[in-house]
Amino acid sequence: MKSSGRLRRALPIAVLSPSLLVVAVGVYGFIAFTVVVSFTRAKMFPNWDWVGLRQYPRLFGNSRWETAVDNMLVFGSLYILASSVLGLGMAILLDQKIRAEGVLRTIYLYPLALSFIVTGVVWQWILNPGLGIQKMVRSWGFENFELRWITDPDLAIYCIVLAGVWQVAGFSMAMFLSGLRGMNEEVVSAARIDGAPMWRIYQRVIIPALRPVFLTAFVVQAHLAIKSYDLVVALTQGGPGLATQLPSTFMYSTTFTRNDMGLGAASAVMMLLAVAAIMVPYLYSELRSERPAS
Amino acid sequence: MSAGAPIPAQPGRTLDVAAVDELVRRRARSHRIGRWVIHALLLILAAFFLMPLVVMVMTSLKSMPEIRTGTLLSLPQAPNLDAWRSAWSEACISISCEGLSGNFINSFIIVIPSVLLSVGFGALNGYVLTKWRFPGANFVFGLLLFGCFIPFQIVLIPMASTLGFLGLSGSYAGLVLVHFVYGISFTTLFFRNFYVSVPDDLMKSAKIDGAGFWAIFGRILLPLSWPIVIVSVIWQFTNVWNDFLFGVSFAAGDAQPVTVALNNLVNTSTGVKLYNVDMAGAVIAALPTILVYVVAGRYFMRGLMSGAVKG
Amino acid sequence: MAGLTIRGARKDYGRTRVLHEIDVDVADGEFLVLVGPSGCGKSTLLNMIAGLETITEGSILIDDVVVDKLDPADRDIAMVFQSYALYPTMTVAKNIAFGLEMRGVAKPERAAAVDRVAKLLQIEPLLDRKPAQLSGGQRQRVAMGRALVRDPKIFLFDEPLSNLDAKLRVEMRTEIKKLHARLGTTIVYVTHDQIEAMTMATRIAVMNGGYLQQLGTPKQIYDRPANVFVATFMGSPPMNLLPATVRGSGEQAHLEVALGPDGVGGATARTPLPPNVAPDQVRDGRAVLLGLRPEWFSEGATPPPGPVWSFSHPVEVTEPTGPDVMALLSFGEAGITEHGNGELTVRLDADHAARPGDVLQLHADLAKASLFDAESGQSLLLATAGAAPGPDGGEAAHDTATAA
Repeated sequence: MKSSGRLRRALPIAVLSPSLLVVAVGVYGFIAFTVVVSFTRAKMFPNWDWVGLRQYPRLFGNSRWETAVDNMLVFGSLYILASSVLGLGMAILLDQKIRAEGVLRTIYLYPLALSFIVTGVVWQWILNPGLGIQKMVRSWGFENFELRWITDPDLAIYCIVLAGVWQVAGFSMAMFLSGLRGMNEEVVSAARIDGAPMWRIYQRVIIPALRPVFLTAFVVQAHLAIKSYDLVVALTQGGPGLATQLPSTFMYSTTFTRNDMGLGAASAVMMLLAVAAIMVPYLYSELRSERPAS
Repeated sequence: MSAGAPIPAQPGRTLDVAAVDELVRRRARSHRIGRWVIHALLLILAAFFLMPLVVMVMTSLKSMPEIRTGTLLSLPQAPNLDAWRSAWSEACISISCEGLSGNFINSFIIVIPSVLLSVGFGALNGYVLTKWRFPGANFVFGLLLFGCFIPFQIVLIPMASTLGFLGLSGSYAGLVLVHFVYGISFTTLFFRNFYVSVPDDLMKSAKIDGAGFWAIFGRILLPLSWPIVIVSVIWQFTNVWNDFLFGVSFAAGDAQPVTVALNNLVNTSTGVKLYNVDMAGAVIAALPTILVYVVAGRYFMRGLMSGAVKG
Repeated sequence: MAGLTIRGARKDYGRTRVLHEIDVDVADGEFLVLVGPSGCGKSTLLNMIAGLETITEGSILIDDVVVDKLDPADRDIAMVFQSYALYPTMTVAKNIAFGLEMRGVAKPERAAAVDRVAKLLQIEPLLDRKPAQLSGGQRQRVAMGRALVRDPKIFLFDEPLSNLDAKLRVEMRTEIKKLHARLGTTIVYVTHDQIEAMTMATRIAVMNGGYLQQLGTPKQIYDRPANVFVATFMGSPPMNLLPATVRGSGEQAHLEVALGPDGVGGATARTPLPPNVAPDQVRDGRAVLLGLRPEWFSEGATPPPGPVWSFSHPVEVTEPTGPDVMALLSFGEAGITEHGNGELTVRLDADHAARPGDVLQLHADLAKASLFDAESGQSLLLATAGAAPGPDGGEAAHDTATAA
């Protein structure tokens, strides 16, 4: 039965191998490929005219890229801040023994089931300068109400923030809610006996204890923000002009529309580095604390 | 060593019946006010989240003149499904004017095999990684896990080339392959975390009973895997159905999923903007995943949480 | 320091009644222990005293002031929890001072109070640490410090020693008892450990199934349990309960105890009634349980003075425990009840050389013995102090508080 022994040991690896192969090529291989392309002068197709790191300074000097990065910082920080705060607020409210909690949770979370395209398309309609919110509020009597953000280069980015937060706040709510529910109830009882009013208990005892959840929420949302593409395409197409251009839309248009593949590859690499800068330290610390002896 | 002098009298020490009554009344009132505020806030938030959905559906039931004269939340006077009909079979998207119906079906053609493949392999991977430990299993898991986090822009270029090379550009099979590649990391994560909590003793007694690799998987693990299978299926279904980036990059013309078609309908069509048709199209594109959510929301949640909590 | 009165307290969760008619009077400075198995309602009662649970019916008075509608913060109580419930993100000093801070005590006074309490509990070196950096025993002291610093009227303890290892538990038990002696505070203490109850309490309230089974001093509870539950729950090993039948009446009344197949001299033994049985409880044919603790037996040729029941019986198993030897005697099928498996446990001297099979000459001290009705489980002795009506009714002497 010697051969069956060897076969038995090989079987697990054999079963894993399609996935391993596919990931090795599709993830790691492709990343390497893109990195290499970023070192070339590729235009419409990959070619191997080596130019070293020259695409990168070209990228950093590119004004469209600069705009994209600026937009990313504004969008990212507002998006993370707003959905974390809103999510925390919703979680605290829902934690107050509400009878309709199940229904409310369903309502707060359903946007996550939608495609970003659907979200973008609907919010585009809602924020329509002539027929959307502006018209509705004016019809309520506020005749001078203005909401033309979507056509204003300085304000369009906030439309993306608004739609993005609408879609994703439920997720951070779910995380905070499970964090709240996992807390030792006796600590809250002790604080009640110590004479703290409920809001103080939240401020001094409960919210500080949710620090790990804040961290995870930050990491996940930062990751989502960097990857944002569909929402921008559907809501504003990167406009007006370049006002809502993000690194993701820059990469796509540079590579497939402007046929400057080397530059596009460089921008993709920058996106990867940004994500890695957030995820790698986080994962490392999580895995280390999770596995002390394995 | 004395116990120390008692703390001087503090506010809040109840002294007599009258003081107690007053305290009770005040607390009860502020408690009632608190409850009202909480419920009001929750309702306002519910309105905020529901509003776009309501607007989307109502607009799709209106006629264009009505839309121009009314406002976002005005009720449809004579609700009709004309816009739906148009979005489904008549609307012009890029060159053809056959509505979203074809793309809707495309999405199913793409989603179903992707889900089957990635959930199937994900289950097997999870099984192997947790129950057939070999040196470096955790490392392999980490390698697979990385695929969950990459921004997909980094693989667009080589994937386009590879699909071209394999002759799969623009086809259904190409997209199914793409979704398999980038979905396997998530499904492996779900199954691996689920199987970790299945006691190893179950495995040992099965081995002693003579069960082999496939028998243990099929007869012991799979039967108790239904919760996580549902979670994985829902997760993958939702992600693949809602995908846009891969769809727009790798599918061509007739093979495009409904998300790409919707975007084209709304943002690249020329001529007069038909908002009711746009919204009807949005409803069509959103319907499957919303239905899945309504029916199996609990599992949807579980997928979200395990995906996030474990990184 | 204050007295606590619980009057007719009941608690329902929806349609389930969790606590039935609890009446307890705690005098100023007493150490009352609520003891009972899991689910008996002791923690619920404690939470009701604290104000963390509402009271369905009845009232709770602290220092003669009705407090049942007051928030916990307004009742002037402090509580030590089973999990210590320290604020995880605050230092020890901040943990202790938190209650004072919430009541608006100025910083210098807070610091002085914290120092005082830290000195008392010997936790001064820990003041700047966070709870995660402390051991279980240290956390427990900090939790006590947090309670002490506010000098409240009543201290509540909810199984504070359950999470400590055995040795630490014994140490902390003594510490708490010493603290009580020194400070003279009123304490209500919940535990499922009957040894803790016996060693620490000035009075014990034994609870089961939401009912108060008996309220009395440790000695009363131990020597004169009000019913079979108290008799077997308190004391380890538990009180022996031998099935018997009352025969005859009046002056001639005696007990017939079933000895089983191993009985020397027959399957039953005849013994006089314990002297403390209430005369109106004596009825011919009544099925009873004779309660005898292991240490109420003596062994030897000559019976000790006083009312005794002498009999001989073979030893089945001996268990040397160190300080003594427990001899187990089998009474066979006849001895099996819902309260025991037909074995009598007798405490013998540590040097006793008994071996399985040896026949022992035993004398049971009837002056201490208990007698219980076999069906209701209630004690048939005169004036068992502090007993409360159990779920099956039955009688017992009961100090009723005057109705409000």
